[in-house]
Amino acid sequence: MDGDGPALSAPEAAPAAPPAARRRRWVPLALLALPAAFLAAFFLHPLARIVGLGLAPEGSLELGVLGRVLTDESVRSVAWFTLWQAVVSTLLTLAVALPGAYAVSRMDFPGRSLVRAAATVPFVLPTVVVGSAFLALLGPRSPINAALEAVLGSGAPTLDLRRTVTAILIAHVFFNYAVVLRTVGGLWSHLDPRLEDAARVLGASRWQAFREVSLPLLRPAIASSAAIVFLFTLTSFGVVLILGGPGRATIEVEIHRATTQLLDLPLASALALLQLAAVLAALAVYGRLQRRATRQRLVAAAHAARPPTSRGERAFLAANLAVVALLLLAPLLVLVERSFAGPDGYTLAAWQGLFDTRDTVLAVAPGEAVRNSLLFGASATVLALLVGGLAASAAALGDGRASRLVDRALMLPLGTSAVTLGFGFLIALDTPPLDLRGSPLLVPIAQALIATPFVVRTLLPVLRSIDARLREAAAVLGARPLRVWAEVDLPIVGRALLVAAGFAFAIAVGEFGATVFVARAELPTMPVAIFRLLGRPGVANFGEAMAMSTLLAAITAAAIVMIDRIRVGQIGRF
Amino acid sequence: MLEVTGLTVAYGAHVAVDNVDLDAARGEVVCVLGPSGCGKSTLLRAIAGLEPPVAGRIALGGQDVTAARPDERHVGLMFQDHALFPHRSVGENVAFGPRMRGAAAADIERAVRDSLALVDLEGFADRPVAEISGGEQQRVALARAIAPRPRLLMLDEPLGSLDRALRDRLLTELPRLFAAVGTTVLYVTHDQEEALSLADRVAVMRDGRFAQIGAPEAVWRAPADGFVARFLGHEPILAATVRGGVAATALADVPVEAADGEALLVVLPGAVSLAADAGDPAGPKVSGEVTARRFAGDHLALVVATDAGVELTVGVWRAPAPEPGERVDLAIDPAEVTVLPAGDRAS
Repeated sequence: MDGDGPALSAPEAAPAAPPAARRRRWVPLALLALPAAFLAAFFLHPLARIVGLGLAPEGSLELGVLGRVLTDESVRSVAWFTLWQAVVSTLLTLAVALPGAYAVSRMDFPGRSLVRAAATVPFVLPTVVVGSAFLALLGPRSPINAALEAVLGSGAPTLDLRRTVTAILIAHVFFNYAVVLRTVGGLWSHLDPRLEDAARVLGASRWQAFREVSLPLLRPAIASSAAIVFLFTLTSFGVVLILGGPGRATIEVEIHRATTQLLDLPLASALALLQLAAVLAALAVYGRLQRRATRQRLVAAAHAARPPTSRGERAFLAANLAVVALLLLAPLLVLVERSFAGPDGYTLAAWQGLFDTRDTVLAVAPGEAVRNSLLFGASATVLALLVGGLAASAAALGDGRASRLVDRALMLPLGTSAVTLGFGFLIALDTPPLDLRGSPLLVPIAQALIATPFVVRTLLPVLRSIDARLREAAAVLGARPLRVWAEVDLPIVGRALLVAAGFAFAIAVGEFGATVFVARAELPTMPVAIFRLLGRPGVANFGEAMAMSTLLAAITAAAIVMIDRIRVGQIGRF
Repeated sequence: MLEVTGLTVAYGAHVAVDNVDLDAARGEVVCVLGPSGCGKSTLLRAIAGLEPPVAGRIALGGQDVTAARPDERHVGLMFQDHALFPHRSVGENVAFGPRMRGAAAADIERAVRDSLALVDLEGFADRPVAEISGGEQQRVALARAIAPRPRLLMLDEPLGSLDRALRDRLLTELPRLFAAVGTTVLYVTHDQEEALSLADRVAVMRDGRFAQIGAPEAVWRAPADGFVARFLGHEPILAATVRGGVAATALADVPVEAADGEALLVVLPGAVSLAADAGDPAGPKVSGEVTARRFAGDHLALVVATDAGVELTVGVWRAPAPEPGERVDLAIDPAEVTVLPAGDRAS
């Protein structure tokens, strides 16, 4: 640095700069500050309050409440129902979706990608919409009953599956079909088809070839999709709340009831602890399954699919397409149809009612809920992108251990049920310095907490995939660290950021479990409004719920379609 | 043993195998040779029962199996890139066939041991297939194919993915192994050296049809048409007019045994030598200039631009060899040329 001239006086290039490793160490830590604070304030703190309230309701450790809850007959029956409906839902989903996964991944037919996209729609729908759709499909005014009456005459039996386990199970299959289809089908479409060919030539029958070759290779995907479905149905809230009834409540629904109807917070805390334990156990099993995957050669999807040749194969394909049409599309079509149904023929009354203040169910016109949802959803998206983006950047910069830690820590809210989070908000964020009681901010914060894991999961692989030499090249060419980030990372990650935003928005807008605890009465979101409308008698309220559900489905679908258009050529993963 | 008659396999509008006839006697090694995409792999898959034919008949040991399922045919197929079951050990891969055929545990164990011994992989049974080398995987695939003692063993480009040294070694080992197994072999490759050295008979395939079937030496010395000659690497192939036992070409007039008319003259490798080394001094002579010299280990290959405008390659086994730029006289041995009917030079 002896002042040879302006051209050589770039101080950053001096050899005195600290070694990269030392300089980098504090960068991830600095980036992590905000996500860590966010997680501590809005996840760990509420969780600690739940544990406190559950184990020490009066301030000192007292296991009596927990013990009473665990031995209580009604709680045991709720826990038992929660468990068995989750197991049966998982098995049913596998039974229906595995043949479907085979059809869309191994059979080549026109419209294949369309079918795959259509089958994914239910998964991204808000649970409240799913509940409404099945209420419409399985209720007495369903077109199914109209069809039955048309065929059998007025003496036809009326199908009414509302408030039955059957309805819950069907809705769970509908909701989770795509999980199995995408997880298992994604792997299946890349399995080398010659492995089964080899087995056939060696003397295996079609079934033996599947059982001996494909099934073991698919087992990790089947197991992990089953674990995800199990987790989703174990923590099922919106669907059960709307479709279930007395004696058909999951732990989630009981937490809600204990909080809002019985006002028994210690009971709710104990239930939340029970739920947490179950979820942690399920996650532990999931983690073990993930680690046991066979290393195998995958082929391009195009090489694995063959057109159906025999009559049996064509019948199999037709049956699966019928399942997609009947199970997956019928509820949505009926939902839309019901939103236009009036006492005599079709009418726009329900849609007009959305923007009519005469309604007394909500403190405001239902249409207000749309505005609230969009506002909250947008705020939650920004928050989730900020927290998730910083955390993902830190994880990508840090070494493997730090990165795994961040990944795990931010996945925690994903595992914890939304209801538990909402309940935790309710009991924890009421004391200074974090007194947010009644604050409308709670809604976007809760939604952001739930959306953040998806943001991290979307951004992290992309950030990790950036070749470190690109950054080095930019630095050698004279870019300062921040400039490197702006010139290299940001353009590459831009696409992923949009995808993450779409995901976060769809999740936030449809979020129900946590929002229902923290949303103020006069500021309902769309799912909350739908739930309240459904809770009231009267055709008008029902129609408005259907119209609102249709609108919510459309908003969510729009966000997802945007993602699908951006994201090209990726294997579906959860 | 194997009789294929009028076999046609189509993918939609694309006819991959077009009305093919092929037979193989018990214990015979037949090599199907052709460029990639000529339909040779499809032919194997159809014989294995993995592709349904649109027409034709396949018989094994006198028994019609055209409509039989793959698992009923009792054939062996070694796939290109092996298709080993990644979730099973070496031994489990080899045991798969005998197990599917319902063999007793002791027989399965013996079949695994014998098959692995045949491919020199004793002691590999417990290794995971993902942890062995490419050459070892190739041997496991072969062992797996022969373990159920198939009546017909089919191999699809078995040496395709191996490096040259390994390939050359296996090329010398395979005939010994085929003899030991004693089964009929159908071997598909795009490599003429593999086909010519292994086969009792070679079938050259082109666009889903056989261009020529015959003993390796016969195919080599008398290719049926320009395509086969070119595919075997023969050059140059010259347009010729035959009149009174002499073929007139741009290069030289060469005495041949052929009927009068338009024809193609195929110059086989070894037909051209330096005039000074020529065994038959009476043969036609041409002269030209050396343009390039390539060292090929035991000999030098000279590229000579002849005055007639045709490029020839000459092998020289003695030193000193002519340098690039030097003029040389070349002799053409009339016994090392062959005449084909004209007509498909363009193809």
